Formats: sequence, structure tokens, C-alpha cells
Amino acid sequence: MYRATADIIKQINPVKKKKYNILTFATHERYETQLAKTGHNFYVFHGDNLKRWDKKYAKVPDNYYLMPTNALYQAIEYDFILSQSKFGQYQMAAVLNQHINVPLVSLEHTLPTTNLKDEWVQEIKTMVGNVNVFISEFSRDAWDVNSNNLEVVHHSVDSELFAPRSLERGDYVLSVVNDIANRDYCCNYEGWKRITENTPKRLVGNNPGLSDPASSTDELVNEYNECAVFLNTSTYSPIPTSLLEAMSCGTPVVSTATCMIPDIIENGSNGFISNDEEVLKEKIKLLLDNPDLAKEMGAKGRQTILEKFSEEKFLNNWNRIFDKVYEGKK
Amino acid sequence: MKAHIVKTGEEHIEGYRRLEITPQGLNLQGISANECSFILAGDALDSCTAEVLPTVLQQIASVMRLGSTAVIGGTDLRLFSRAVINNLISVSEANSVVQGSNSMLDFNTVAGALKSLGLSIITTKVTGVHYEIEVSR
Repeated sequence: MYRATADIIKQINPVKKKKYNILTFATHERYETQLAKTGHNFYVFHGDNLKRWDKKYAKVPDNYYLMPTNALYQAIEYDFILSQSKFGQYQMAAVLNQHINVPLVSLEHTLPTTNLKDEWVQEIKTMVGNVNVFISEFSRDAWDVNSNNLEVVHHSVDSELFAPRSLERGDYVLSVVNDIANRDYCCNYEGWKRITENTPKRLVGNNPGLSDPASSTDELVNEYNECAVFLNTSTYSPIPTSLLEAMSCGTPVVSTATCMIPDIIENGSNGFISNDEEVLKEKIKLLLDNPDLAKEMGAKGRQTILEKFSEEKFLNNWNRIFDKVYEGKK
Repeated sequence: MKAHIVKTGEEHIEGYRRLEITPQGLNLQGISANECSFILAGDALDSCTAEVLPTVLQQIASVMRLGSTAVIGGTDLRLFSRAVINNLISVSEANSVVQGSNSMLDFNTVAGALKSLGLSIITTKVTGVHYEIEVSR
């Protein structure tokens, strides 16, 4: 009886969810565009040596506030800090927290790469927040940070934006990656050159002398929709965002089988994966020669994104973490 | 809408509506009554003259939505004077504070003025010679 009354009251007057004031740093524009959909207020601190939001990659969401350089505005009453990197942001968060003294959520997008000295990796393992978030189980295990408070939140893709469009597909292979030549150690530029040597190809991304980034997100969606096959050659990336975006657009994908990729792509079903360059070349040719197979594989890839990388899961996970941190603060 | 009251030439928070304050007052062009859900004016009051300050506070109250909050601050004249007399700030620092201000009131006067406009004081904070008052409507 009491319960029924309480339920009616809840329906009439639903509990208004608190909007948190979150101090954070510009990191990955499209990831943060998704994060902003949690509806909280995100305040972006701009330090002298920190990245700034690049509007070429994504429009600033309405609830993302970009603060003047080195301005903190303590009057805003932050609920917590969200550091998205242990390479500069975490350290800056520690300095800022001397003034505002709030819990820290430490998100790490990267993996411990081979070019990091062992003592640095050991030091980074000690950089923990009240909650430590990773973008894949693989990266959580690879970092192995000294904390029991670990969470994994997989990426999400805006599947309404990154969607199939009625555009005619060309007969070339597309790769979308920034700074590929300088990041050969993880993006595998040399491998990309060998695999695409005798294949019509297009590279999109900020690669001076090689390619330019798409001028807008809309243009990027067209890029995915206009190619015949998407190729990912990364050897060390937890979950390449461009691979997920291409799948979301219904583009058939061919990829290296590294990190979390074999957990996403079932070889021969929703894409092709291999660590053998000759096999990757063969699969590209197979897809270029068989538009029906390419279409079928692309459709299955999109289904994977809808099921495993939905916005709903992503937002629920982040809101659960934010609530947990806020409850711990009280 | 969130608004940030800043001095001419000062940067504002991108995503907030910029409102400029000058010695003559606050420019509210394009803002309707009850439009703001939050106003940040942490160190804005020193910029206008004492004569226009009551009008500025009234203007701020008029654009606040019911249930919204504002943070209003400035340099406290009494704390500043005490800091100068007690050598807590240097003469050159004191000069730069004076040069950057068109007026200086004290915390109690501003709090009283805000209350008289029907606003409720939520928190008050004093850091050094600077005060901030958080009010709600």
C-alpha cells in the first residue's frame, strides 16, 4: 500500500537527477561529445601546455564550457575532477585539487607503449584516482594500476550520425588515422604502406604531407560511406575509434587482430582480421571484388556496434561511475 | 542560460553568455528577464562605480530565473584597508588593486543590498581581501 503510494508520488514528481559540475581537460573531441550526453556540466581547464578543444574534430557540446587559460573559477563548486590522461592531465589535476579538494576520476585512453621506460610505467601505475577508468579490459590489465577501484567503459558510437548513407561507394580502401607516420610504433605506417601498395587507397587524418583531416564530422561520415573497404593497421590501440565509426556506417572492415579487436570482430563474419599482411591484402581484394559480400559484412559490423557500443550503455556506465564518486564524496 | 560577467577585454568562459561590466554599469543587451540559470560574477563588482552598483545588482537580480543562483564578488574595502595598515600586502600590490578598481564596497553592504532585492544568501566566502557571495532567487 505504502509502496504503491510512493510509486505514484514518484511518477507525479520524479526525482530530478543532479547535474554534476565536472572539471576536466580537452582530450578526444568525439569521445567527449559522447560523454557530454550524460547531461552534466563539463568545465574544461586550459593550462599552458594542455591540449585545447579542436573545433575541426567536433563542435563544442552545449554543456562543455571552455575556460580561459589558467582560470579555475572556484565559485563554480566542482563535484569532481575527470582526468583523461596520466601524461600531463593527472599531474595538473593534482595541482588544481590543492585548491578545490574534490574526488578524482582518472580515465586513461592509452596503453603502456613500448617506447615508455619501465620506471615511467611503474610511476604511472601509482597515479590513481578515487575511481580509475579504462576504455577496455585489455588496457585495464595492461596498466595494472595499484588500485582496487577499477572500471571499464567501452566507447560508444553515435550510430544515428555514423550511419549508412545513400552514397555510391568507390573502389578504394580508406584508413582514418592521425599522425600515422610519427606513430608507426602503434599505427603501423610501414605495414599500412605495404598492405595498400598496389591497391587504390585514401588516407584521411592530420598527416602533414600525406593527408588532411575531414573538414567536419559530416564529411567524415561521407568518407566512411564512400569507400569500399575500411582498413585498420594499428598494432597497439585499445579500441580504434575510427574502426568502430566505419563499422557503424556499414562499411566492411579489414583489420589487424591486436588488443581488443578480436573481441569485437569475428573473423569472416562482421569483418576480417589477421596479423598476416598477405592475408589482409587478400581480404581487401576479396571485398573489393565482391560488393554483395562487402555489403553483408558491413551490415553485420553495424549490428555489432548497435549491440556492443551503444550510447545507452556508455552513458549508463558513466552516470553510474559519477554517482558512485559523488556518493563517496558525501 | 549561464552567464559570465567580465570586465572589458577580459576573457569569459566559452559556452557562457558574456556580459560586460564597465564603470557605467552592466550591458544586458539581448538578455531577457528571468533568462539566466547561473551567473558568475566572481570579481566583477570592482569594475563599476559605487553610484551605479545598486543598479547593477538590480540588473543581475532581474535576469535571474526563479531557483537560479549567482556568485557575486569583489574586493572588500575594510579587509583591504586592514591588509594595507597591517602590511599584509605591499604598497605596490595595494596600488595595483586600487588601479584596477572603480569602487570598493564591503561584504556586508553588498550582502544587504542583495537581500533587499529579494535574493537569498546561500554561502559567503572571503579569501584574503576578496569576497564572494552566492545567492539564489
